[in-house]
Amino acid sequence: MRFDPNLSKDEVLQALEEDARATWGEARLPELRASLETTASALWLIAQEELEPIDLEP
Amino acid sequence: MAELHELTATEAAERIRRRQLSPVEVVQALLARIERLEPELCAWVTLDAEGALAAARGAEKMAARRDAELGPLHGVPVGLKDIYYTKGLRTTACFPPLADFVPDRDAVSVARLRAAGAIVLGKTVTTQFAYSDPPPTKNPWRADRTPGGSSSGSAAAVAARMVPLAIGSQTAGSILRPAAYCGVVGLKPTYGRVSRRDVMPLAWSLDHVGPIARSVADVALTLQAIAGHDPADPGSARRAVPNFRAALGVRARPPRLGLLPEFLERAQSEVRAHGERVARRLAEAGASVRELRLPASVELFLAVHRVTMQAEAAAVHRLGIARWADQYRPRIRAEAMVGQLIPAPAYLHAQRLRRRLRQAIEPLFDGLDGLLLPTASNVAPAPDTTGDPSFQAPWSLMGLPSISLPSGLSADGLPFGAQLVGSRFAERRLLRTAAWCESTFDFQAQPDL
Repeated sequence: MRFDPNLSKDEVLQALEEDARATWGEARLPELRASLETTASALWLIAQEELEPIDLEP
Repeated sequence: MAELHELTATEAAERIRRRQLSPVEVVQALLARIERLEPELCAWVTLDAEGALAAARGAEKMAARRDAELGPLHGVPVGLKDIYYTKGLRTTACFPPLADFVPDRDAVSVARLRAAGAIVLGKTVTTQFAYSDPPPTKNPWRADRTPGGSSSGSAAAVAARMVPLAIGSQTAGSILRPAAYCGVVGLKPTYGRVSRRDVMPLAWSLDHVGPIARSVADVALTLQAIAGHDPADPGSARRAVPNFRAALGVRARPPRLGLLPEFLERAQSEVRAHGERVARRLAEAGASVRELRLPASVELFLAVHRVTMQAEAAAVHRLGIARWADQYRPRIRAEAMVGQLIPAPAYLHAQRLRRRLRQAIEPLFDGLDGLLLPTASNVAPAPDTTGDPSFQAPWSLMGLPSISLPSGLSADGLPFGAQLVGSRFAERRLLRTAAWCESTFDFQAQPDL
């Protein structure tokens, strides 16, 4: 998935689910669902926080 | 006189130092207590009765020499969360493929405890790899409630008077939350204060080592023993170790506390009401309590924490998942699998935000001795969870020292915890503040076992 502030929360979740299906297989998806949802929310939220390139280093 | 299993670490160490108490008697009393309670509580993975008794006999022999210099924890039994390497004693992380793993060395923190004279009684239950899959351990206050996690066995064993002192670890809330749910004291020092070497990692930049005990004096005593720079731990700080225990001996002025209403607002109603009573009680006892706001939303702290922990846990467990996926418990397996999907720019963005949050939070401590909030949003919930880490995780993310003190009981007879947070490397001040609050709370209740 792309880390893109323009993606909606649902789009982030959808992209993560597609990656999970491709990486871990369809059968794993039900057990990953809760983690995928929480992670999608977290990724979306931090993506809304802008940082200039010249700003802080990690 | 208190029964031997009732002694705090400080009391036991003092009596042993005065040659009024034999370490062998202490170990025997605790082993008897464990034998009676363990079938119900399930707090231990490995009990090293033979090794502990041999160490106790050695400690007794040493104490018999009047000229012997005894360490600050001489003869005091300790339980170790089962992610700490222990030489010659298995270390399983409660993960089946490691069921027979016996390290050839001690974790640095364990070696320091032994050097201070502590006696390793055994290894306590951890949730698998210190994540959030529920443990078999029961809460000593009520068997139908979780003791919290991931330092589940450490907190339960201390609360049940099986051992006066135990070591836990915290990546989100795994020292303070179980301490709160079990009605004991838990301390998470500043990141870098205590070596993490040879402690099985969950997320390198978030993992902290810290003690669980039944008094502020005991966690100070333990921190004194385990703190200090370790050149082999890349996160270890080159900081002098102050005298934490001496800070407790000084009659402290009432502390200046910053109350964080955001957390009260997020807490369950009984926790919120209790948190407000705690703030009033401390103020009536002379503390200055003023309300403060965090520099960013709690949700942002938690989102940065989640991305950081998940990406790092995925890296830690990449090979393990490839080899033993089905041996993992469901929650950590999902965490490690989904963590592998997090893009590198997202992890780096989280670390930049983390730095921004750290810079923004520092001024909050100006003119304050600590921040005050409930340790957890709830009292110990049902055992299908280890509880809610959202009140502890922000301070793990920031690397700030935090401590949980029992502050009262709910209508159901379950402990509430009050949490204090200090500025970086200000454990001395935090412990002094905590000691003042502890004497104000005067929490004497214990589980009926």
